[in-house]
Amino acid sequence: MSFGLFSVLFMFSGLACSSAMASMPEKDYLEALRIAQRKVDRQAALETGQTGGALSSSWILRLYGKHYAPGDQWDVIAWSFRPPTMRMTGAPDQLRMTAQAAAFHYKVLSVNGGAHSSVTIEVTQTRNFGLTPPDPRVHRIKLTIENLTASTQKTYHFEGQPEGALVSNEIPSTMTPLELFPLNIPELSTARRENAEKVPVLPEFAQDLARKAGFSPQITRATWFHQDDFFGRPVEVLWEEGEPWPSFLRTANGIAILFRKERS
Amino acid sequence: MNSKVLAVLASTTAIIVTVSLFSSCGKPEFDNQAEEANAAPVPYPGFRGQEFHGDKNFANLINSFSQGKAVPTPWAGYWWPYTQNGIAAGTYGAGLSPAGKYDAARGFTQAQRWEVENHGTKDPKVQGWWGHCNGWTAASALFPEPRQAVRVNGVTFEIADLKALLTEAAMETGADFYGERVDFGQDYNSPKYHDTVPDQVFLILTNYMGRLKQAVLLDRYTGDQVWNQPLAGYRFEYPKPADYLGADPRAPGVYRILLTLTLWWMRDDVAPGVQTPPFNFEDTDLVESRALKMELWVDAPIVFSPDGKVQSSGSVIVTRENDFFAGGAWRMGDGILVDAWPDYMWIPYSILKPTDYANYYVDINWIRDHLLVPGGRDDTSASPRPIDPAPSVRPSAFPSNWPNFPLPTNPPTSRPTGLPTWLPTPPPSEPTSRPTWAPTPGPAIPIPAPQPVPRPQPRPT
Repeated sequence: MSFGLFSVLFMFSGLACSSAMASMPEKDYLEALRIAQRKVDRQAALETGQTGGALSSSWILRLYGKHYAPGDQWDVIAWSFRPPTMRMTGAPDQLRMTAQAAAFHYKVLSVNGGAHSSVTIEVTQTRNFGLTPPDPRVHRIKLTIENLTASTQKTYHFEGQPEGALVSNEIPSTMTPLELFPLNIPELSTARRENAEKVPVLPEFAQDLARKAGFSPQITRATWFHQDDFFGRPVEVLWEEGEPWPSFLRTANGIAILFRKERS
Repeated sequence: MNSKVLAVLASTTAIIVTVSLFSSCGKPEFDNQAEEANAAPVPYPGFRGQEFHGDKNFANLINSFSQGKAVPTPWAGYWWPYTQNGIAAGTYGAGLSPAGKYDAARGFTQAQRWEVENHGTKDPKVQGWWGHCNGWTAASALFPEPRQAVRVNGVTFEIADLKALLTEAAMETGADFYGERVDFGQDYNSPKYHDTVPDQVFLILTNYMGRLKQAVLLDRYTGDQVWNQPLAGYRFEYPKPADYLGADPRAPGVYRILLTLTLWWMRDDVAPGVQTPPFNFEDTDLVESRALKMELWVDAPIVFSPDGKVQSSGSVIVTRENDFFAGGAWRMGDGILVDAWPDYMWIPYSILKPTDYANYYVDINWIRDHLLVPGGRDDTSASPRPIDPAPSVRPSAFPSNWPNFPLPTNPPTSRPTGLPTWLPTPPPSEPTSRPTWAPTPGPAIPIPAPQPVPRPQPRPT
């Protein structure tokens, strides 16, 4: 078939199917409404305490098997995506997704309260696996987590600055590239959740390091959580029962895996 | 021939004729970049955003941030097309290029040669639309606009040279993305085509630009081409009670309201050394705009006061299930959309060390230390050399005739497609306008006239 005939067919096919591209087709409109309604319903259930019989404050007990205690610690490898999305080129070799890997150590500093606990966790950049800290100016990050629903505070402590810099959980700050690493967990209570049936598929750039770290989640005791970030981008969490932190976490900007944990 | 067959043929044809943007999901590579982490990325735009919490309440946002602009205003610049050798072009420097001057001041670098080979006409794969718009866009948001020439190691860098070098340095940037880029011009049913929804755009604009005065960047071409531009500002027309649609009975908890949004962005087809005046929410020679109509969704009723103000409301809804992103609906009428909602939006963070894309020799730290200093600061460690004249442009490089790299292995979906985005290629002008994509070679026999496609405004010469 000649290129010209291809072109003609192509044009006709477009003409035959060209309506309503600018406005959403009714079928899609209705589907979007239904999805939005389900989100509204989940939020309403949270506010009335009917989140499937699992109040937010019980999540840590259910997932970790106990409440956090000072001294609990674990290690995470995280990758910050370097998407080629904006590149003004079509060359395939310049449109590959890459990522920067980094290692982090988590340690529970304090726990306040009982069932409605507020947990303070210190996160530091480490050199595990020969990785280099992405932002050497930051000597620690402090996460404060309420009820395991979301980290309600995140504070960067920069070298030479007595005061920490508090940042929003919803709006990433441009003050440090660490903001693009998935270091804190999303709000779980309104997440869609399901029993895990398959292990997460890691991007190729993460596979070698994950293998060295012994990444091998036990699916039989894991739960998937599907949540949206503030702007509606997907956040996926795989949490194995008995673990202090998600075995796998994926946000719009990166992924993180748990590789070493130690109870206090 | 039924429409399914036509659609399949169209998709097959699209694979062949679409030489545009391939998937970004090709073979990934591990990139630790360990050496880069020894130095702080450039720049850190201060502590903007600290103690800031996002707001989703529609009433709050529309009453306080119905319009907003970036502070400082991103600067207009030039896209330095590959077909003119990128920043190795001597067109705007009396035969001397920004890269050539950089090499002369530093002595040992080969930025001009690298540029011609990789961002220029010595690249056998180069396409007419390839250029530096992403670098300029990020640079205009991350760096103040150069306002005066500097002299370093005996070499005078004009404003155009400084903008060009910042543009090149920002070709690889750490950034936060909203939406994925459309890979194929005819793939109108791809989730990537619909992954910036009105509610998300509303939240990004009002929170980042309205509240934080943060520069927001976008690909203004809804389809497969890449037209990065920095937003100068936005404005939502204040809604009237008649714009409120209430809830659809099929989703009684989702409340809808009609909005009209105007986006203004800086242009990149202007003289490379142009100075950007203050932005005043109007089109100028350096600023252009687009109006978008949308339906916004919130999770509680919107209440107007007797004087027509939005008194209370729920929160803006953005959510998704699998690939389906829900959050309002675009109301742009019928027709093909290539100049509609943003293909993606992004927030730049910092300049990354060049890997495979930015000019390896252009060092942002050297630029910062020597060229971004008022008047310039000599580099006493360098051994300056005479400025090499800019290489000539190979005329055969534009446009190339056919894709000479592998065709995509993940073809467009076979779902019905809209009209192709065939647009005529404009004649070259100065500064060079971005070519719009046209399949080559052209059809040998007459074809039906396509439905009119909204297209970018003609560029000034």
